Amino acid sequence: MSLNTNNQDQTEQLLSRVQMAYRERKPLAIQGNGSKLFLIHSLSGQPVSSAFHRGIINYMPSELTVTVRSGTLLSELKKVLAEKGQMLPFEPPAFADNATIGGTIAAGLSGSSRPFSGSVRDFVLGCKVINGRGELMQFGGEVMKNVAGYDLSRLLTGSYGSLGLILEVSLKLLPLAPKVKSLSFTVQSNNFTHKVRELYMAGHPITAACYLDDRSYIRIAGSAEGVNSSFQAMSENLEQQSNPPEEINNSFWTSLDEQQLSFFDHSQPLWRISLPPWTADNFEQYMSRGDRQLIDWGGAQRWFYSNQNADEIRHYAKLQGGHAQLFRANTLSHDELIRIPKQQPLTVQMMKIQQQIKAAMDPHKLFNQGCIYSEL
Amino acid sequence: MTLKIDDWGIENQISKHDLVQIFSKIIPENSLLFDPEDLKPYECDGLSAYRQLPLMVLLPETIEQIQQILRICHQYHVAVVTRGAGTSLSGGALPHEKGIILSLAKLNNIIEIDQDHFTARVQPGVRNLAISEAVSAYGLYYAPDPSSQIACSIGGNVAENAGGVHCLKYGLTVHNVLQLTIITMEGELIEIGSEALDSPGYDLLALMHGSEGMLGVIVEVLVKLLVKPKVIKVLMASFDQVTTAGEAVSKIISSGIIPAGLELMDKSAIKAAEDFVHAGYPVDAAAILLCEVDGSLAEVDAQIKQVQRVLQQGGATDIQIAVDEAQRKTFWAGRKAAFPAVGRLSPDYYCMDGTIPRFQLGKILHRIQELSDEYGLAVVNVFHAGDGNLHPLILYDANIPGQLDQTEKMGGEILSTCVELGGTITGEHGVGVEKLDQMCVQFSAAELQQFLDIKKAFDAKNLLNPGKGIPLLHRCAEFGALHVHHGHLPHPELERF
Ligand SMILES: Cc1cc2nc3c(=O)[nH]c(=O)nc-3n(C[C@H](O)[C@H](O)[C@H](O)COP(=O)(O)OP(=O)(O)OC[C@H]3O[C@@H](n4cnc5c(N)ncnc54)[C@H](O)[C@@H]3O)c2cc1C
Repeated sequence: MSLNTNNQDQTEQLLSRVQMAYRERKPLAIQGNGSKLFLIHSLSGQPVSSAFHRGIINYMPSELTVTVRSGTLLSELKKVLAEKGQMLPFEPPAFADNATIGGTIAAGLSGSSRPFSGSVRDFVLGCKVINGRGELMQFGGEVMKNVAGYDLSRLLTGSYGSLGLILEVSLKLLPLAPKVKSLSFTVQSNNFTHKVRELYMAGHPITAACYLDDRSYIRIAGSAEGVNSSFQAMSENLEQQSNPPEEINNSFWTSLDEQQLSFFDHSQPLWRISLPPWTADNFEQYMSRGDRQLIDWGGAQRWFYSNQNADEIRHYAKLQGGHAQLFRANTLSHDELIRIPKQQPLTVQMMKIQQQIKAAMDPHKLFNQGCIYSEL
Repeated sequence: MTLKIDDWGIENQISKHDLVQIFSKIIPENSLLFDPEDLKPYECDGLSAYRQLPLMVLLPETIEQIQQILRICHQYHVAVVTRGAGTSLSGGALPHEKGIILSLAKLNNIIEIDQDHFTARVQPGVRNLAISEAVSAYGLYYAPDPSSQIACSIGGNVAENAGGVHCLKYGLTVHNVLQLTIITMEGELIEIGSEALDSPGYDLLALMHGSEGMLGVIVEVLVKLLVKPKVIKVLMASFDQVTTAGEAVSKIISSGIIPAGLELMDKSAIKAAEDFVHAGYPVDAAAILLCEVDGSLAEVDAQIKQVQRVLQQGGATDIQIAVDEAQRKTFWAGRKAAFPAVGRLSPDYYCMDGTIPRFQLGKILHRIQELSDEYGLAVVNVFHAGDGNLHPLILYDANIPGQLDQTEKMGGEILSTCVELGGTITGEHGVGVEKLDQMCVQFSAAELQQFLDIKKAFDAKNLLNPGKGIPLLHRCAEFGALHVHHGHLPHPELERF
């Protein structure tokens, strides 16, 4: 075995582990280092971790692709990419120093660049996985375009380990922009989306936009020339409306994605409300005393602290064409936690198909049973 | 050409006569075709080498009609092949002898354009280009632009996960669709995805893309629209070695630029295109690269300068930047006319669609040349170089006995080499009936079985487009591809990439 703990191939061990579970029909609880477990219902079954299955298998900067073992630390991967001037375009939050890339893919979370650059699954090109029959399989690949066979790599993204144990994943990368600037200006919440969209339509290279406490925060990225000229044009536009912007540190966005802004110091339940792109704020009428919101993704995502009834929140999200995810339960009671699904309930027909998909990948429900919905 | 269709064991439990009776109560007379004469136009898609008459063709106008049709087919075990515009190059819309063709041509309305949220809700039969045309006035467009875009339908684009010249920067169909409404084989209406950027549960939206009409019938599509770039510029670089051009592609991308389009043509493609459309191409060059960048004026100027620098250092012998919009269009016209231009050189050609990691461009070009010498068949190379997606065109003459077989064999070797070099057998044209054998090269039995299980999760009786996309395990023999006889292309009205 390699002494370098950053590079360890545990394919054989993980495969025989799953095969044994398959023979004995004993459920497994698959995880990486557990940094995203708060997003799912509690796991039963014998724990299996991919955290020791580590290492970057193939990284060719000129190809804009990387293939990595699932236990590789997200932080390490990001560092290696940054050394070559590249990045994971979906800016995944880590929520812990030991977050693995496998957990990142399985949880399917994307950061503030999401509406502008794309989501995790948009950048997944292929994966190697063990299915619920203990078979080793590879889907997709390391190339940009590939329509051979069904796209199971993207199906596995965001499935929280309940369809297969991800061994390797191939991702598309993007170059780090040579220049990035962020600015902030005063705006009313109900005018935020409108204002950002106007700047976006004017052709400014916006890569993130959020609203918090009567201020809008915007990031632009590109060549130095492009960013400087856009920064100036945007500033002039805002000054004309006697609302001069102020430049802020780019680290703001990491704090936002990692939920380290003081906004996130709250004890109520935290909801992630996903909405259509550029949804204007009309929250006022739904907010009750003590509720707090941060609008991200240019209007397509709300972080919402509230004690309101889950059904109410979900009803509201649905009316708007979206859905609500219970992101951090915080003060919710144990009973409520059992009763309230983390993700918005599905229609009967949709649940039926999802159950059939689960059965096709994992016929004996060995993997992370009930982690998203009790039926899966 | 002999077509080997897998036997999916479909036995109709109703006669054609009775089926016609039932359907005639659901849709009007003129939307139900069953005379062999009327069925003829539906016997093939863009891969015209394969032909098969269906039992009948139905042209429903409403979602309810489609639901009823599917329920009946489900009840009586009748295969259903959904058809959009029929431009598939892999035989995806080829009829099944015991099945119906469900043509969605009449569902061709743009239901809603939402300027506030940058989306458009359309019926599946709407043509790709019609979307961009309809939203153009709002400064928006729909990004994926397959070269068949004046004809192909958005439903077919989703089913094939179609790409285009601009997908290097703006993504494939799967990156530009938010929601689908589908009808399952049992007639159930299901919404997949949502108006929001993500949805709870498993990502069935991604799964539907590229599923070749085997999982459900797409009856509505909500597409994402992009803001039209303020400035677009294109640059043409010449090289005296095709491999140098291939390496320059990687160098541009390594320098941190993602061009909006990056296309490569070799000497014979340049010559053919130049003779055909007079685009001003350098006919003595061994290869050219066309590189398009877009964005704000300052951004585009900066990027063009950088690309120019990289290309000079990368061995370009000449670089021209289109001076105005007219010249930009002329530069592209040559590229777009490459296929019909090649059609003038040779009685027949055969188009491949492999994809490789970009850094293998030199190797694959070398191998294609070797094969060309070995088989004595000329090859013209046209690439979506930025994506590593190759369209080698093998020139042959079907009237020379045995040449067609040799061509197919050689094509097979090219695709196998793509897999060996870490690539795939199809980048954008799909598997259809055409590449079922190569699927056996690319996937193991367990993987193929997994695909078949996924299909069953949607369609337990295997009635939706059976015999396409995924080979049955006992298969794995010969294969075929796009055959163009005497320059008569399927869909001659279309520009070709
Ligand atoms: C000249 C030419 C150039 C081309 N260039 C490109 C290119 O640049 N990039 C590219 O990606 N492709 C290209 N193609 C291939 C083809 O145009 C695409 O695959 C296109 O997406 C097919 O759309 P269609 O409406 O014609 O589908 P069809 O050919 O009618 O059907 C294709 C497949 O989709 C299924 N299908 C169609 N509609 C639906 C629906 N509503 N629900 C479920 N399944 C459905 C069918 O069953 C079939 O399996 C080209 C073809 C031609 C002839």
